[in-house]
Amino acid sequence: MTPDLPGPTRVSRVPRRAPVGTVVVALLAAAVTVAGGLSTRHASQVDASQVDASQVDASQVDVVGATAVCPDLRQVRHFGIISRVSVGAAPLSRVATAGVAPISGGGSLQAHPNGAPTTTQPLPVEAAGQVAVGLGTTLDRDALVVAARGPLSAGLEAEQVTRAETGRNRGLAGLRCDAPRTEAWFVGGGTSLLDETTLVLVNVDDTPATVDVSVFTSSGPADPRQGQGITIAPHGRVLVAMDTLAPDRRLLTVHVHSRRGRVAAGLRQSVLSGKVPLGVDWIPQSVPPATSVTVPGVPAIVDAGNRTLIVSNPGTDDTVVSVQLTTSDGQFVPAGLDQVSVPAGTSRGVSLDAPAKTSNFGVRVSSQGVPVLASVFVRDAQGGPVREFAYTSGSLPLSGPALLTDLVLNRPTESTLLLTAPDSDATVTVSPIRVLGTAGALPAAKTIRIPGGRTVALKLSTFYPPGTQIQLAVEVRPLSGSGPVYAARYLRERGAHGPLTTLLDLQGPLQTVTRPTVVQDPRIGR
Amino acid sequence: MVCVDTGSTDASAQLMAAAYGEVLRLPRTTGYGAAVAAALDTVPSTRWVWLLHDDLAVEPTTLEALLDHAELSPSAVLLGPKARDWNDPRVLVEVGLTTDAAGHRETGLERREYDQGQHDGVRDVLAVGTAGALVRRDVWDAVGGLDRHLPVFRDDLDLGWKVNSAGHRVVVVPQARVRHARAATTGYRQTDAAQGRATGTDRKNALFVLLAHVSARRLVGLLPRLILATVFRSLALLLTRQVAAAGDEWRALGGVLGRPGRLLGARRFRAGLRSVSARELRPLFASRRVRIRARLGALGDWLSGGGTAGANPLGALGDPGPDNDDDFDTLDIRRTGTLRRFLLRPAVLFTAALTALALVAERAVLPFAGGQLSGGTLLRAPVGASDLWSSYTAAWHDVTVGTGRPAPPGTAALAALSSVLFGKPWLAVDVLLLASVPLAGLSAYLVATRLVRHRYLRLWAAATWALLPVATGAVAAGRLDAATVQIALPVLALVAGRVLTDDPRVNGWWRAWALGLGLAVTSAFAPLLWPLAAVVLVVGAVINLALPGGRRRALAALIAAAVPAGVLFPWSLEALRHPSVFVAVPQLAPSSLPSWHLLLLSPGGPGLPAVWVTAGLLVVGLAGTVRLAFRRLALALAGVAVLALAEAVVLRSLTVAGQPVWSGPALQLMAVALIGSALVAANGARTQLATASFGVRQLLAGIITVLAAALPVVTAGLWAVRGVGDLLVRDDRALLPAFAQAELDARPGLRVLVVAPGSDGRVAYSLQDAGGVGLDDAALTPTSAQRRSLDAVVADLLAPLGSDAAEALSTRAVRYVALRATAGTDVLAAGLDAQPGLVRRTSGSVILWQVVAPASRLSVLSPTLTLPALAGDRAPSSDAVRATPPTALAAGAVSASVRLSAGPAGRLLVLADAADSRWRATLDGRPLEGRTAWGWGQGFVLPTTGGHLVVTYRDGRTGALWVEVALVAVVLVLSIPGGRRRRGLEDGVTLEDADVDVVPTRFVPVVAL
Repeated sequence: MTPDLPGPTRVSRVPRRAPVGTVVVALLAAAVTVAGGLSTRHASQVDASQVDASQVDASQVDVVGATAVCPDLRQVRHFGIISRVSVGAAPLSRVATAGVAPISGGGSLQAHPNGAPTTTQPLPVEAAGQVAVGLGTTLDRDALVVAARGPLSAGLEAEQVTRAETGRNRGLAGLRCDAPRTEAWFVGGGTSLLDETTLVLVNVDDTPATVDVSVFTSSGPADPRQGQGITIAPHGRVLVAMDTLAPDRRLLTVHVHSRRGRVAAGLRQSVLSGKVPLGVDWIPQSVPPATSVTVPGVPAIVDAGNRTLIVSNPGTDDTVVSVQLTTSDGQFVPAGLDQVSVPAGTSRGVSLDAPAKTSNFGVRVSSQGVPVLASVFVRDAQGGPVREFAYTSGSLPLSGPALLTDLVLNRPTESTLLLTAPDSDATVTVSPIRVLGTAGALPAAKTIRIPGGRTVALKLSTFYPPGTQIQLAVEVRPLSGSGPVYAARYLRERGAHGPLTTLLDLQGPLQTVTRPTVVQDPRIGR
Repeated sequence: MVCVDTGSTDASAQLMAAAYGEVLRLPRTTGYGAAVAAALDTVPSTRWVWLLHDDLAVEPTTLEALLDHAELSPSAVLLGPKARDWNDPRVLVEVGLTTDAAGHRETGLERREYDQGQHDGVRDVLAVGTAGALVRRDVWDAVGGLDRHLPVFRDDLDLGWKVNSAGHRVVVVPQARVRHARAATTGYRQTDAAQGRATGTDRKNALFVLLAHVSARRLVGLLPRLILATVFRSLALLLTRQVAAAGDEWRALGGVLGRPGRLLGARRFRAGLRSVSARELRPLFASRRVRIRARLGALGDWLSGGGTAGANPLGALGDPGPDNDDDFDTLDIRRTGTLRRFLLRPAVLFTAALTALALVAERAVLPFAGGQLSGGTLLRAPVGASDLWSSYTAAWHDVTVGTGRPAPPGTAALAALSSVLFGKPWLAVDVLLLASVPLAGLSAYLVATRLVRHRYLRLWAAATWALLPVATGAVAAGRLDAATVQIALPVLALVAGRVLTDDPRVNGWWRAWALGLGLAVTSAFAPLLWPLAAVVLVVGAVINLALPGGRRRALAALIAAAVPAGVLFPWSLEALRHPSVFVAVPQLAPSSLPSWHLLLLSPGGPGLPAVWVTAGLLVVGLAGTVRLAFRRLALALAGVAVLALAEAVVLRSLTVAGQPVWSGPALQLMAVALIGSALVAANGARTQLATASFGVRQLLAGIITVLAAALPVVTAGLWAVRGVGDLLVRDDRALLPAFAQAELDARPGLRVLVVAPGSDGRVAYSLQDAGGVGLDDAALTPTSAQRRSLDAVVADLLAPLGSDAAEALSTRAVRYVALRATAGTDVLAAGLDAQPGLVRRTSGSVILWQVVAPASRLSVLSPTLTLPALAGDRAPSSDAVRATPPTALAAGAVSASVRLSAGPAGRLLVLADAADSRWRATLDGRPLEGRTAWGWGQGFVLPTTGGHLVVTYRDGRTGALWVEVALVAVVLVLSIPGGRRRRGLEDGVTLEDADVDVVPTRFVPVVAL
């Protein structure tokens, strides 16, 4: 029916007012809604004093305090054992940006023997980019605690090298002095007749620490009861002979877990066959179990020796791993190593002697679902019966500038920097740094480009003309845009009776940490 | 027939004279007894006397029936008729009288009891009313007739008692019937014969009769009881602002006891009459049981809806609406018991259905499993109501680093509710939260009965209100505040409507005060409601100012808006200074919400149904404004809705302490206005549409009806299926391991920092004492400066940057850091593990770190630590603490009293509580100079000498509480309805509870022979 059709059915209606009020109300509601939609929730302030304009956002902040513990220093003149600690403050990884002040001195580094926390000694390092060598030369059979407060903490790097000419501990043994933690993993060492493997546990805090040590071996987990509840007194140190926990075992995997407090842990192995020293070294801490582990810095065999990959499965499920090598020529999976089964709770050794005859390499172990650990046992020989060994373990890529603080450039000792870029192209600069107390002009920095999937070796003696004898430190800094690069230093000395070697991985000190945004919320307190 | 006129002002005397001849004229102050005595003086000898009143109508057979019975049983000398109501002859007024031990006048009848022959037996009674009573003349003379000291009220009781104790019988003869208006008793007229008000006279006479008759032995026990009763009754009357009635109570007592001679004379006279022992008369008195049964009967009337209108629970809130029709509201069940009638009331059936729905939806959190409700925004309630009370009255609250802010009024409100609920705060929380949907439905239904007459409309409105998205969201997120508002808002809205539309001079100002009180009590639970409702009330007041005669209504609205400031006194000052405390509880609001969600009444947050569910309500609410009949009311309601929407939009754009504000309370206001508007639209619409010819209007109305009806059905279904979600839980798990809990319990003041992964990648933390953070502490937030400095410390603690955060925590008496281990807490745990100054103590479901630096609520700093403390450093260095650790002193939860030894100069006494000017410390009575330690805490400079050290927090709370109590009392008294009642005859109203306006007329006794 059209409206203009006149019809008899049309009823005459009471004239109605148009519903003006209804329209007005509807329009008002719509207007309020639209206005509400336009106003975003900008920090409208109900109460200026309550609303937090300066709410702490999640941000990267510089570390302002750091501790490095060198677990076991020895000074035995008679056997020519000398431990030496070198400390440096790495420059910050980032260029000073607006609003963030660069490190500029003001911090302080101090050191004290662990057993005497009140006898602190200031260290001469006063600014970023400085390195001091030769600390702790008076300390015997104790740990040295290096504490940093203030801006220098962000770059704290300390390493310990012990050199012995003769005796059971003949050889070079080095390790990075690490912060106390609640968890540590080591892959390597043994408790057979010739082996002596010792776990060093250091408590630098004012409260006692209690740790559980569990051991996995090539023949399965050791009796778990032995290592439970080891208590370390405040500022105390405990040495645990591993043969008391797992006698006569090979390919150890040691897990240190702190129930209470924190410890700095180190695992040292020395091997002696009759009167023939077969080497000594610290087993570096490994990254926690993961499904993909990268072990950097396996040096090529120079004269003679072995390279043995140890894969450990501390879990409760069997796994199969594949091993991939990143050599100077490219990446490949050695024959027969694409399917290596590692039963639950055991460690397995795999010889990598063949590829090591031709090239330095890094190793990547990939597990199918079950987290594993890996390290490489590096044994060098030089013709005679005397052997020397070192370990390199699963590591993290360089997080920023890292310091190699103790390099002695002289003829019998060769320091080699091994850089592995397993995933993509990487570029690092290697800059010489003056060690406090030395003089002379510093050579220019070198920029090293590592193609993706390659390992590059840099002999550090090439900074100076051949034959120069000098104490040197270098900073290794990945350039921005670089892919992940794994680094290790191989120190090899051609000794009179045999080689002296040690390996040190570089990860870079913890410089910045993520500070979370926090919000007060009483609801979580139950 | 002798007629007596005691000063009538109308033509009744002439009429009498015309009908009966002579009329005896007496002064207007003559009492009934005196008038009868004067009349009998003119008739020297007669066998019977029949007493009549001017407000009495006898039947032709009345006298005959009385005389018949008198012949039948000669021992009956005083015979009374069955008296029925003047207006409604079905209603019984009196079939004999008696009294009880307290002197109450008992008729033995229920209120408005219909005469169905149930009392039609001739009985011996203590007394009969004088109206239509037949009495033998010789006995009348012997007992002295009606006592002259009782000119009106209780004279009948006295007469009957005297006749009985003289050994005669008093009987009621129901075959003799009269109709009685009881003009004096119901206050229909002023009696000049009695001085003062009717109530006072009645009370005085009641006491007089009682005291004149009881034996001497009982008198000893009775007197103190009567005095005590007078005290309590007058207090109760004073509380209800019936000052005059309270005065009457004392005047009555004074009037009786103040004239001991008269009382003694009366007693002596009655003792002379007595020929039977009191024991023989005992069956004639009403036992206490009868009285209790009468009260219970009245309660039953109220429950089954059969009582008087004034007994309705909402009766105190307003006059019953014009459409209120109890017959319509009750299902058509006749001749059923009270219980059955109660159970079959629609409101009860409806509430039961909602309860069943709530039980289904809340299946996961019902209190069968044990444990306490918490989760969402809800914190655990303390163990006992006394904990809540002490928390409310405390001056210093140990929440985070402590605060002297006034406790939120919600604590007191919940404490009061818990005290009623057997002292169990968890029960109060359960009732408010889990029963909020049925309770909200019930309150909405009761309010709807005052607005519309149609049962289904009421049910729709109540169901829609009870199942709003805000309501189910409130349960899911543990919003105690929103749940309380949901229950209370319908009633508040109804009263607010009356305040804004009724002239307070006619209907009483009490309603404005009552609205303010209700708003205050609800706002105690939900602080945000106060400002939101105040805006609506103020806008209403402004609009009223523009209307003729609206000034008083505007004032009433402003009173209601302002009353919460007084009732919530110390807190309200704080709230006006720092508006952020209105939204101090965790909000759980979405960080971004489209504004059209608000238009659809969806405030965001957990537990909400789909947004479109409530779309129909908008249409229905707007429909009311189209109808001509109630356009102004509907427009006003729609205006309130728009105003509330604007408030919601504003709330949504606010953030307080970094958290967005939940706009639910504003949407509750909006919803109540929309539903009201919808009721206006629907009221009588069917009739109107049915009479009009079929067309577009009917079609539209049909669509709207379907839309509206679908709303509660859909929301109920969704709620039942989805349940309350997983935020709200009921458990009893403890955070701390036993050893840590024991240590904290043993040393008051030690704290725990709890951290947990929060939303948006943030980390939530809570600094708390051994008891944890309870419901009562949630709103007690630290100052922004304290919070910022604590935030920075906690953020540093969580990042492994080697800072002094742990030492900073130790200055705040933090002994442990706790983290509940769940997925994703590894990073947090690693950060805390790496933190120097913290050592891990336990692992497992809760990882606990101990702060190495010594923590104590009260400690003495060595001079080396004093320097950084006074310089405002954040924390002492760990080396300095190791070298010279602070000396811990024993302290209580707030104050401390301890022996301090002498020491070197430059020591500082530090309290791990926020600096506050009310902290006081004295050493051997000498006050110590207060300083701020570590930039936030309270410190005192110590001398080298030792002595008795006392630390106290100067209590400013007690005074404020008394002010609050006084203000609450004043508001309470002002908000009690009183003063004015409807005039006229009220059936069954006895003097004891009648507070009546009296209309002066004359009192004319008529005596016939």
